[in-house]
Amino acid sequence: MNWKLFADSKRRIIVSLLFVAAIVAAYSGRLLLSDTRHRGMPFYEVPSFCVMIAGATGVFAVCIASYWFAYLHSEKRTDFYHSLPVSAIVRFRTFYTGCLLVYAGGLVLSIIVSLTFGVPLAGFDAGLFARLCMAAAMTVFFFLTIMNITIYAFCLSGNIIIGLLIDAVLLFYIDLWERVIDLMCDFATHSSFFETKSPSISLIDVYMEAIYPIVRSDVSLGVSVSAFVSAIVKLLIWFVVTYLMCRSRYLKRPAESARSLIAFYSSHLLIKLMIVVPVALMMGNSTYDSFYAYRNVMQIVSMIVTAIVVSMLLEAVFSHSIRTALKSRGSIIVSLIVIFAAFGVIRAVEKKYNSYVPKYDDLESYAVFCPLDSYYYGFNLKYDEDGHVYDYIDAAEYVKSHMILPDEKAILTLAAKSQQTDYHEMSSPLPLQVYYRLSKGAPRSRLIWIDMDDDENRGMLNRIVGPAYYKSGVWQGFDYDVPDDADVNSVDFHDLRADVYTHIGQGQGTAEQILEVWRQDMVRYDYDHIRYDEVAAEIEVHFDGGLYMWVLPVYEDMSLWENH
Amino acid sequence: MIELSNVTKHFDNICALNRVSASFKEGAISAITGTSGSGKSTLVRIIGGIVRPDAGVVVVDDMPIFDNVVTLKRMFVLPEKPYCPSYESAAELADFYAHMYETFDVERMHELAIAYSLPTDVPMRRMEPYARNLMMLAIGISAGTKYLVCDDLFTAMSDEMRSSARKMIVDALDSFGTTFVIALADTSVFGEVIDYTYELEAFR
Repeated sequence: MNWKLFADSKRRIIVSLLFVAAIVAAYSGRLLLSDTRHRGMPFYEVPSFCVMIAGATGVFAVCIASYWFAYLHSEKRTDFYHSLPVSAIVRFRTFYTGCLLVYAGGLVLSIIVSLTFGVPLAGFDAGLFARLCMAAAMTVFFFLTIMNITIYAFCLSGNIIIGLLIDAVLLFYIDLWERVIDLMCDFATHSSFFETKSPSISLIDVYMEAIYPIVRSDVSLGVSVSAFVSAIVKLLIWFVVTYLMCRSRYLKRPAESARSLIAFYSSHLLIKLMIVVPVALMMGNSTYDSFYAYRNVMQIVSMIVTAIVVSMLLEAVFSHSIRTALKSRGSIIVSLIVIFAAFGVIRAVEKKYNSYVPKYDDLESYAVFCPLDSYYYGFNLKYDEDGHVYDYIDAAEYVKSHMILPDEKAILTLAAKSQQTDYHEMSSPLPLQVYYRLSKGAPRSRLIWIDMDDDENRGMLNRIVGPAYYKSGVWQGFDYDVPDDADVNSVDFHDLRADVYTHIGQGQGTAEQILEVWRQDMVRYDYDHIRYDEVAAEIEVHFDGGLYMWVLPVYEDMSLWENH
Repeated sequence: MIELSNVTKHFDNICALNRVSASFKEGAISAITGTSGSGKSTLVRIIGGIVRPDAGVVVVDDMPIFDNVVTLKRMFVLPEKPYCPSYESAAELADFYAHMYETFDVERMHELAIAYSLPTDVPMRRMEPYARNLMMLAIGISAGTKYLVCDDLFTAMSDEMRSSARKMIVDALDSFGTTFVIALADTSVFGEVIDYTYELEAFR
């Protein structure tokens, strides 16, 4: 480091102090507001708190990195710093550490201010302090990674506007591709239920998913620590990779690029492809959805037109010349080749994916999810060791771990028939998502379509949903007793047809009694008996101040409905 | 000695310098001349270690210049538009350079300022642009480096100002043996003080 490197050190100190003040105001202001009022953060404030902290951290990272590395976009200042007898690596380290110190100063001061003013008002709590430290560590890595990406974007560009645009694209690039694949693929849009816990890759997903259980004071510390450890490893990888990228790009960045838009001439095509390919695929997909009759032709035409227009627009921005943009046939052709290659790969993978049916001998067991009943899959609860409810269980995770269906023949027959007929041609199609557990290899999930007007199909489906195995995998209340220490505030009967609530009672005993009747009624549940009709009413068992509940369906043929 | 061998530089697909070779002798004033767009400024920035050539080598005292602190310490570069924070005075800027160059002589800078009636205690932004350039030249000379590479700060100056710059350069050469490499659109503005002239031709 060479701290005497800055000719404008006075201005840098003043601006840095302003950043520190902004960080302290944002972080400790928000922490003090919630923690001192409630002594710990209630769960309903957590989402907005996480979004605010993540947003503020992102803005600080982009602003601080922009300020410290903005000299790269000024020819005068680049010449000045590059002519000084300081090596490029020392220069990079000095600027980088400068950014880091500004943020670290703000963060440490925020924690000090929060503790100084928060502890006398709300008291000291070791658990809360541990959560604060974990959240701070995660936020530091989140900040550093965004800062690295911003520095990388600034090194890649020769102009601050282009730098910020590249920064935005890079920050959300993985999310963008996830969205493209979601939109394009049937396997992603229709059979994604069991994939909801796919590993988080994007920086924002990693941070947001982990910070939520970490700052929630009603989640046990063990759960928070486990979320923290998993996330911090991912954030560390993000940090190291982005640090190496921005460092390498800084050292290779030519000084003369301060006057151009893109610092590396060789990057023009790469940047174009990075933007044109996902945009064209997305546009193609939107056209596909809008023009059913000619959807395939319209999708291809739309991708071609988008590729040409966006390529030319980017070329016009790079070259400052409409004429050059109109002549940029080479990059348009390369873009089209990459777009259609990506399109072909995605379509081929999707086709192969959707045609999969496991062999009978390979299938150990399976679970199913019926999208039409999706609402009722989402009310299973997480209890801590004291019987205290602290969250809902992810629906897919619950089904995966609790529904063990053994009738392989029924599901394989339905899956094979699903391959034979397009669901558009079925008179009464019912989608069913299946999670196959295999004797060899990882489980696989697929969507199948069942024609419910076919009696054989109906019989097979009844064999799947009729036994208790299925019901245990959907409703926690089917075979899970209310914990002794659970705080059951209210048990209600909700008549959906009249939209009338009836309070049945409260406490564990009432809940157990009504559950017993419901379980007996559900013995006859299948598509020929109870399930042939829509849900008529619901039983709601409210826990812990009404924040969480079990919701159990009541059908017309059930005694609970007849006697209500 | 500063030696260039087959130095080539492109900006995107424009060739700014094509296989330029030269040797700039020590203890002399060398001028790089050429028409507008011939690559004078680019060559100054390459010699000063700011810009890396695409091909060819630049060595200063038998060592590469680019990203080499040892040679950069022997070189003071004045690009076409020298940067200085607008609120800083020449005295403050001299303090900054004194931390960068061990050889920097603050007293000499003040002496030069007095000799050429340049203010050292007012913000640089308040100085007239060419006086500011003259001040930067005084700072560059005070850095005490072996080489001073300078873009064309002089052609647009008034005769009086240019005469002061010329005198400052000649005095530095005589007193300290500083080697000057100066880019000039027109060598006549410096007259007979130039020892060697290197002409660049625009290559397109």
